[in-house]
Amino acid sequence: MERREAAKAVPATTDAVRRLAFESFTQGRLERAYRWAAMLLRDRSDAQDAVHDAMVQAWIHWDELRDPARIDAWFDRILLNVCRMRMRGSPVRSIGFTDTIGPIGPDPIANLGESDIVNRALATLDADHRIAVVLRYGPGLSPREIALRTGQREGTIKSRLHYALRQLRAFIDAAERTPGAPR
Amino acid sequence: MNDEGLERDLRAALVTDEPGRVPDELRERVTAIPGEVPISPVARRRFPRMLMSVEPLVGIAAAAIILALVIGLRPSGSTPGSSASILPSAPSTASAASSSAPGVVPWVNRSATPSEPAPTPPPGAFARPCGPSDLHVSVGRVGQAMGNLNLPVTLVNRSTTACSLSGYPSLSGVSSTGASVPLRVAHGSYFGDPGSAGNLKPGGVGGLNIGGGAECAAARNGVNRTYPVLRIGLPAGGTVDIPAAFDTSCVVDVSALGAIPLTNPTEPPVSPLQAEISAPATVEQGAVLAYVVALHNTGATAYPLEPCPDFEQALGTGSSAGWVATITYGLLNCDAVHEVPAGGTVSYEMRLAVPIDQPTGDAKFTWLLLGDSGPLANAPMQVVRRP
Repeated sequence: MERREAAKAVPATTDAVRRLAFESFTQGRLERAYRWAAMLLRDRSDAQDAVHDAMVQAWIHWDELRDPARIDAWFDRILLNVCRMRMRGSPVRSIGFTDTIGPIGPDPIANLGESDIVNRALATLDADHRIAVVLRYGPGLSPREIALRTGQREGTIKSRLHYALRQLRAFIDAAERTPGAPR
Repeated sequence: MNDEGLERDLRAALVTDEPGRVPDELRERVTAIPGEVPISPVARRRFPRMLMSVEPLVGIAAAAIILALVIGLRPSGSTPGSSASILPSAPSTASAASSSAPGVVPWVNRSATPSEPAPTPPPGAFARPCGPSDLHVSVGRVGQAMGNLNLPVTLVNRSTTACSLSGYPSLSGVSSTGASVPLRVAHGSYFGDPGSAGNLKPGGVGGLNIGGGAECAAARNGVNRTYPVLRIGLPAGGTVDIPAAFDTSCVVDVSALGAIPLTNPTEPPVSPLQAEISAPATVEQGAVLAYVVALHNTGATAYPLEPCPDFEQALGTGSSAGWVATITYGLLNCDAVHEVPAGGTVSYEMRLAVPIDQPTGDAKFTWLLLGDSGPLANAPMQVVRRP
């Protein structure tokens, strides 16, 4: 056995392993992350920025993850936090995935087509309620799975879903009762 | 609308609005992150220090194991501390390349002995702690990233003798009436430590990061707790004031005080060496992959191989459902060749034992010379089923 007397640090070792691990991770998670961000933010450009920001966070804090079984929930929580911040920091938009964004005035959704009523209703939800609804009915996560990814209690998620659905239903019912309202 | 109908419409709307494939632009941005985003010294140090505190070879094996576990990686032949060989004693069929081509430094099966991280100076090596009268203090512009605010503070030793900076400071807000309000601070900044514990020569520069947030409930409710002056309590006693209109309504954190070296220690010098892998296109499960790494010296002077450097080789395959990387560390064969001449190339024969249960498919195959900043080489590789 040959040993070497040396006193240099070994950052390259951990860097290389870390880089390999991160690249592998992003390959497996990028598509889902983009899909979730797009569903939450309703804007492809915002979704790209959110996923990029979340990946930067994951890279910076990579070494802090100690439980490999929680890597998906760990990253999902990062992504959802980034999306939540973006939802709170920008005007609510409900534009679907068109390439053009109309003027955002007092009623940014007034000119949308009839089939967008659900999107319009979703746009009325605040960030936390929208996250619960999108994760429940988009990727189909259970309340327990949503709770794990948002750091909330399962009961809180169920409550948010209940009130969110009630709000959505009220919005849609009101839209249907309004003469001339698009449906 | 009833619940069932609403839930059906929600699913339909969300599925309809799925954005399709990931744009190439996003893939490129994410791929570039490791090269563009520096890791804070705190994050960079935390990992190796913890591992290197145990027996060296266990440490490096554990480093690979822990990261391996994160994504299903697995170090090869991981019997920590037990062997100097990085190949199985009775390797399975050598499958991929011939051995010892003319002009190629032959393979030697030697394990690497990981070196120790840069030692922290013993307490006796520290100069006296910097006091308020030693320091000229200034603040930079508030930076923001991911909802985190950072106020960088620069400390310059204006005395005629060396003094030291270390530890975490306390923090108080000073109101316009002069009242000092102690702030509850968390240790550790999102933006990392600007330096490391050490001495400041006369004129030497140290630093501190003070962090805050803009996304807590209080801030969202319009609470703003901004003091015209922040008072920094030095660990060894005394305070220094900084004029800083910094909102402290969310959690406030501080980095450790530290000396900032003239050259950034997190940016190792660029190696003049370039590496290139010559390898077969495929390797079978359970085989020993034989390949050649050429080290080319782009510098104007010979690159000494003293001390003889370690290398790392990694082969990763799998999917998001289960990724497996086989990682080994070895010692370059420096028996006959002690330097890479300026403008010259030295080629080395390499061996990597591929486990029998290595997943098949396209692989990420990497070879890296340790120390300084590489060099690193990648090559296409496919792991195929053993017939």
